[in-house]
Amino acid sequence: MSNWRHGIAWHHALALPIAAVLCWLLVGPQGPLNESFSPTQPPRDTLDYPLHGFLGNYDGHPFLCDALGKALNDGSSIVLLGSSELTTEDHPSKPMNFFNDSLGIPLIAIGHADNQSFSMYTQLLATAADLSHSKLAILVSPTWFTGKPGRRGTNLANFLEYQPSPSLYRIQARVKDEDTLALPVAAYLSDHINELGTAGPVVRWLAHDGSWQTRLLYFFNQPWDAAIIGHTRAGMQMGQATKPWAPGPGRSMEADQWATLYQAGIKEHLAECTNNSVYVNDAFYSEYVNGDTRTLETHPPGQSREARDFIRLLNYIKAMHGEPFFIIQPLNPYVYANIKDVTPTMAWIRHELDTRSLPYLDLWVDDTAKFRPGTLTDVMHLGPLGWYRVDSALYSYFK
Amino acid sequence: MLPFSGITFYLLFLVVVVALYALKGVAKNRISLASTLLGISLAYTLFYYPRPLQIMVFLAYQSLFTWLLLFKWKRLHKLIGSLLLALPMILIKFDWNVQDIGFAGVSYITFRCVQVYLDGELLRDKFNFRDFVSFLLFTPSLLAGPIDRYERFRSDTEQGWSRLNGKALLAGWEFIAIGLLHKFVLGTAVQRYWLSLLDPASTAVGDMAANMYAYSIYLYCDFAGYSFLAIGLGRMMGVELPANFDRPWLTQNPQEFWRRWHISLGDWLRDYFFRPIYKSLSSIPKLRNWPLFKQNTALFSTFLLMGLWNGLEVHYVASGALFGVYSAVFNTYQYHSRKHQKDIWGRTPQWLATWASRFIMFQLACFALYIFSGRFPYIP
Amino acid sequence: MKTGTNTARTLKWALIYAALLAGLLWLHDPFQISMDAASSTVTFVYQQF
Repeated sequence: MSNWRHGIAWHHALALPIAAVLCWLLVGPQGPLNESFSPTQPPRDTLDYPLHGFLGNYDGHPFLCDALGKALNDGSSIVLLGSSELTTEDHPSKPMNFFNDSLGIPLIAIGHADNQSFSMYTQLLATAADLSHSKLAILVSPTWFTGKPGRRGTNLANFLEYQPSPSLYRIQARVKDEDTLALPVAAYLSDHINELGTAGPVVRWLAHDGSWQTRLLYFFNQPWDAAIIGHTRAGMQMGQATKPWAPGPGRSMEADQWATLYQAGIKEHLAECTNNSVYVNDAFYSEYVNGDTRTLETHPPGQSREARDFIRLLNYIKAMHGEPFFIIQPLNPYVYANIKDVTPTMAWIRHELDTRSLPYLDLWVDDTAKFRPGTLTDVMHLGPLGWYRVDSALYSYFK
Repeated sequence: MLPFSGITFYLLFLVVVVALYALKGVAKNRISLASTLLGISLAYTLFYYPRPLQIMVFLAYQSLFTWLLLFKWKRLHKLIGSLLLALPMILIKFDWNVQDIGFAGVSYITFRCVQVYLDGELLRDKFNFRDFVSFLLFTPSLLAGPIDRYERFRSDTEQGWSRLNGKALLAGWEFIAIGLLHKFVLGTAVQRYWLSLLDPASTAVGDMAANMYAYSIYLYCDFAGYSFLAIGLGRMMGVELPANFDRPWLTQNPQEFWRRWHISLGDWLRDYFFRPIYKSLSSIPKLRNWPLFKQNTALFSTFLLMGLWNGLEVHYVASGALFGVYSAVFNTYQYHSRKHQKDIWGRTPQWLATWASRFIMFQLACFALYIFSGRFPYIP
Repeated sequence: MKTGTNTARTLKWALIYAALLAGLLWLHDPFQISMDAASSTVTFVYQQF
C-alpha cells in the first residue's frame, strides 16, 4: 500500500500504543481516574412494605418484581393488576385510595393502558411467587379482546415497560433451564424480533429461537451477550430495598355503608353528565363522543391472540396455586352500537373462569336498561359506582 | 439492527470489509464492485435491517414508478412525478398506517429517488436497475444519509475494485474513529451529563438557554458522528459519500450555515426545491422586476418544505420557517449591502466582525435547532 | 515529510484514540448494569421514519 511508504499509516500505528499507555496511566489500576471507571452499583430505590399505592409501570423501580414476589407470597398487600382504568382521574373510590386511606388495608395497583394478559402473566412469572397465600385481583377490560389489541395481544413497547432487566434476567434463567412456564416469553420476543431494534443483551438472548434467521441475525452477538449476561447476573439478582410502612387505622364496612357509597357515587357522576343522556362525563363527551356511536371489531370468542394469552394467564395462576379475584368491566351500551356482538366474548371469559373455579365480579351489561349510571365515568373506564362495587367485592373476598 | 448502533454492526461490517479487501484479487475478474456492493446492501437490508418487507415493497413501488416516469410518462409535469414518488413518505408523515408501511430512513431514501427522477434527462442513458437499487439501499447511508446523488455514486462504483485501496481504507478508518468519538463519546456525554438533567418544560430563561445549547451540541455530536461513520464505512467500501458537516460553529451567516451543517441536505434543497421554485417564480412576468421578492419567497418556501420533510409537527415546521426567515433576512441584507457597497460592520476590524458574526449566527442557529427539538416550551 | 507535521499528526491521533478508548469504556462499558433491558436501544437523533 502506497501509504506505508509515505508514512501516513505510521501515525496511527504509533498513536495507538501512545493512547493505550495514556489510558493505562489515567484509568489503569494506579490511575487517578480509576475510581470513575469501576463498575457502578445498580440504582437502589426504596419502597414501602407492605406495598401500597399506584404504579403505572416499573420505571424507577427495577427490582419491583422482588418486592411484588414477597407481597404475593405473604399476602401482605392486595395486588391489583389493571390497565387504562387505573389512570383515569383520581377519585377516593379507586381501590388504591379507598383501601389504603379509608379501610387501612394495603393495596397496590399496577398498570396503565395496554397492560394486557401477556404482560400480566410475565409480571407474575418474574416474581416466581407461589400464589397460594396471595391477595391478587385482576381488572379485565373487554377492549383487550377487540380490534388490534385482541388481534395482536400485548404490544412490545408496553411489554418492556413492565420488564426491566432484573425481571428479564430472572425469566432468562428459567428459560435457560427450559422451564415450560417461562418459554412463552422467549416465544413472544422471537415473534417481535423485527421490532427489537438494538435492545439489550438479555432481550436478544431471549428472542433467539434457534431458527436460521435468528442464527444469522445474532451470529456476532451470541458470545458477547452470553458474557455480559453472565457477568452482570449477580447485580440483577439483588433484592428490592424496602422500609416498613403501616396503613392508618381504617374502618370496617357493613352492607348499608356500601349502599350509601353507591348512592353517593351515582349522584356524583350524574352531576357530571349534564350535556348528554348517555351517562358519560361532560369533558369526555364533548371531546370524544359528541353524539357519535362507536363500533367494536370483535373476534370469535377464544380465538384471538389476546384470548390465548388470557388462557395462558389463567393457567399460570392455577399452576402457581392462585385464586385471584377477577373483575369483568363493562362498556357503555349507549355509545357502543354493536355491544351485543361482544357479549359472546364476555360469556367465554366467564366460562373460562368458571371452569377453573376462579371468582369474579361481573359488571358486564349489553342492554341500556340494565346499565347503572355511574358504573363508568366515560365509555369504558370505571366510574364511582363501578369502583365502589369493585371495592366492596375485593373487601368481601379478601376479608 | 440499525446501522452503527451496536457492536454487532461493527463486527459484521468488519468481516464484510476484510472479505472485500481479501477477495479483491479473486473477485476482480468475476464480478463487478457495483454488483458486490448491491449484494452486500441487499443482504444487510433483508437480514439485519428492521422491516425489510416494507423496504422491499417500497423499492418495488419506486422502481416501477421511476421507470414509468423516466421512460414512459416523460411529458408528465415534474412536480406531479415527484409527488408520486414521494407519496409513500407523505402518507407515512400523515401517520397513515405508519405501523404497516413505514421504516427507518424512508425520508432519506425518498429524496434519493426523487433526485434520480428530476435529473432524469441527464441520467436516462446511464440508468440501470442494479445501480438504482444499490444507490437507494447503500448500507452506510441507508438510515439518515448523507444524501448522495445517483450519478456520483454510480461513477464511484463504476471505477470498480481499484477503489478499494490502502488510501480508502485509511481515510475510511479515520472517519470512523472521528465518528465514534462524536457520537458515542461526546454526544453520549452531553446527553447523559447535561441534556438529560435539564427540564425541557421549564420556562426560566437560564433553563431554556441551557436546553438550547445542550441540545444543539448534542444534535451536532450525534448527527455529525453518524455522518462521519457513514462516510467512513462508505469510503472503505469504495464509495465517497458527500460530506455532511464542516465545522458549523465557524458559520458567519445563514447562507454559509447550510454549507457547513447537513451539507448534503442543503445542496439537495438548493438543487431540487429552491432552483425549481425560483425558476417558476421567474416565469411570472409581473415578478420580473422583483428579484429580491422571488429569491426570498423561494428561500422561505424551501425551508418551510424542509420543515415539513422533518415531520408534520408544529416544532419542525416552525424551525424550518425560522431558518427560512433567517435566510430571507440575510439575503435581503446582502442584496442591499452589495447595492450600496456598505455593511453593518462599517469600520470594525475584520477579525472582530468575523468572530461577532460567528457568535451571532451560533445563537440564531442554536435557537432554531432548539425549536426543532420540540423542547422549546412555547412551541409544541 | 516535515517532522513537525508528523509529530503533530501522531499526537493528534493519540489524543483521539485515548479519548475514544476512555470515553467508550466510561460511557458504554457493556458490563455496566443497565436496569432497562430496552433502553440499550441506540438511536440517531436525525433518523426518521
